Amino acid sequence: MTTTAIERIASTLVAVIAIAVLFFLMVPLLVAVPLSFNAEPYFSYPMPGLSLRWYQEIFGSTVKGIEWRNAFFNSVVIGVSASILATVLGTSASLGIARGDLPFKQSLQAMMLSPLVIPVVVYATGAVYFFARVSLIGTYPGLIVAHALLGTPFVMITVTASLAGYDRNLTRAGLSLGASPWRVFRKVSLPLIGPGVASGALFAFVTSWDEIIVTLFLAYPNQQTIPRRLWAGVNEQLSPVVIAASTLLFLVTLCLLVVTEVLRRRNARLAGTL
Amino acid sequence: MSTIEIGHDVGAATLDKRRLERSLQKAGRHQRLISVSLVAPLAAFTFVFFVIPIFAFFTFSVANTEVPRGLPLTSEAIKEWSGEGRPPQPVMEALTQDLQNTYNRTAVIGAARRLNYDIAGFHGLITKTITNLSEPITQPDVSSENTDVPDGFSIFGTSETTTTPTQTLPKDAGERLVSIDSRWGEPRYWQAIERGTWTITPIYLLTALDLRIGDDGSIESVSPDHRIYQALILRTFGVSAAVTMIAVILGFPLALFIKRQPANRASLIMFLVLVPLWTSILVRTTAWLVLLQGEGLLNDLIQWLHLSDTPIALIHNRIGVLVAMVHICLPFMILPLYSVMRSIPPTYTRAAASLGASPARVFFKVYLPLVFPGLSAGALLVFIMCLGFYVTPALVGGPRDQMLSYFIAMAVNRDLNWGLASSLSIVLILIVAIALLLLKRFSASALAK
Repeated sequence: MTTTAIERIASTLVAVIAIAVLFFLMVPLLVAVPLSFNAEPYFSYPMPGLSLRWYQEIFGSTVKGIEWRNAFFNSVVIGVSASILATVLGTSASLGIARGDLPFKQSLQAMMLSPLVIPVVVYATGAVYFFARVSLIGTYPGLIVAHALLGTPFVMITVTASLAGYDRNLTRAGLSLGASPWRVFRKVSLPLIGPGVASGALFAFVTSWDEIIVTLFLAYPNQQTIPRRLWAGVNEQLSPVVIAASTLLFLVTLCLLVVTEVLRRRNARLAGTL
Repeated sequence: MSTIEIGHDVGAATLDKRRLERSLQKAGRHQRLISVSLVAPLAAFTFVFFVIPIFAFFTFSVANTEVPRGLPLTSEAIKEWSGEGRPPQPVMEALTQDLQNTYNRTAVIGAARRLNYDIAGFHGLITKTITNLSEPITQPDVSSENTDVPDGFSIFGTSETTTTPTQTLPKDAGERLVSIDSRWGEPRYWQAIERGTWTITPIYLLTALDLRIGDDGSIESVSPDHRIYQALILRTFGVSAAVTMIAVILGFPLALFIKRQPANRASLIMFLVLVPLWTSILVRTTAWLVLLQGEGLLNDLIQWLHLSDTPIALIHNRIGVLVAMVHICLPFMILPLYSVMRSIPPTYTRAAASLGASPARVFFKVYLPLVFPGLSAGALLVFIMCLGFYVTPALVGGPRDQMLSYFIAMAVNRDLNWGLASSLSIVLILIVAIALLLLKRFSASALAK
């Protein structure tokens, strides 16, 4: 009898702590987002009135609005390019590793995953010197390469995970029926590991989309990205425009999260049927 | 007859086998070539744009090129010096010549900055000496003994020196240097120049550990009021450990709670955990800034509840850093924990309970060891992430809350001290590597049990 009482108390305690932690995770975002609609440039509740003036500043035709849109454009261009580069390289490498006959597999894998554990500031500092030597500093290719590098481990992880449930006999069957390796990849392998590749690509995009440290070190002042403008905004003077931009950024990532969740479920369903 | 036949058969069989083996090997090689060519692009990409830059950066920690470049003649001449007492005349003359070489001024200033890392004040000593040497008495040839001092000499000479204003003319290069600044008479400055001519230098690595080369050439601790980096390393370690611990304490109940929910609600809560994970660190840090400011929302709440009459400092101090970092790291703790918890069959704990173990015993003896791989993986991930944190401490921390990453960035951006930045990076990477090794072994042994 006492054990059940203790268990009940324990599970109530767990529930209370869990809900408090969930609250802790969600509240900062939930509290900050409405302040972007504040009519006054203060950060306190109750708000004196609602207005879209901070969004207007971002979308308006003033100099600031043009700067924000320019930053958005840069972020998208760099993010999409870095994501494509990371996805192509990462998927190819994962396919090679999954074949299981790679020499020096352990050390090669460790090297290719190392961007995940090396502190970004160390990489950014090293990159400044190296990229300056090969004249990539302050260029779009330079930023794309550096961002892609930080994204490749994520692609490798997601693609390797989806390859774990992949039956290699399907490839063998395709090849034995006379299809070219490329055709087998496109028609058989890719549709099956597709969700893994896609979520890897999304991870790589978000890595670049949120990246600030490498950008701070490698970009020239005219190469503004959204995180860079946010960084400047937070460092100089916290204005509701920064919160408004953060809210927009938050919405974009939320959409991407929904997309990956759908992809994940699809992946699980495909793995279940095979 | 039959034996011959058998022998013939065996021969054919071995021949066939060998041929088969050879063609198998060939096919294997071909297959391996395909694997290698699939991996090669990313391996090459990572090697060129990640491994090489980092190793090139690491070489800065021991690079020692400034002094030979800035003071070429001195570097050559000082090789003859025993290291005891004052260096011989040729060294003094070489230095005078090096400092008067206006074509090499940038490199000289580089050398001065490098020597300043060894002995504080060396930069000032060199610039002062350059100024004094270029006063009206400039001689076309320094090695010749100068015999007349222009009238202006004493005026310029005394303008900023603490040395004896010499009316008498310096007899040789050595005396002239000492007359400009008496420090040139101290062997330790010359020893520093000599150390500057070594192929590699330990000073940056020593500085990163609050050590220096003493006057007698041995390694010693810097004076207590100059110690920065040992405390910084400890702080980086301490903050990371604290965040990891808080994340474990907060993450464990939440993961347990999610596991106990019905599937639909569990995936909804997981979604709520994932939202912050996917939200930009900058956005989340901004949200905490808004919340924790002096006139921020949390302080409003505290005053409204009459918990305190004056605003409590929650930002630009350790509290703010810990809160924001825990918020960023928590999802990384919850994900591996939850996935391990989900894979544990409930029959194990039930079996233990039915055999008469108390709930506490079931938890500590059965459940915790089963969850341990997830717990250690999450803790490892969070700890390693924290070690490299830069953005959050920079935005919500005060000057005393900055971690190694911040000082690496500052050494490069503000002080242009690449050697120190590189040494601090090596220290940081070593801590990360040790953490990886320790925790890997730790979790592996836990799994073996």
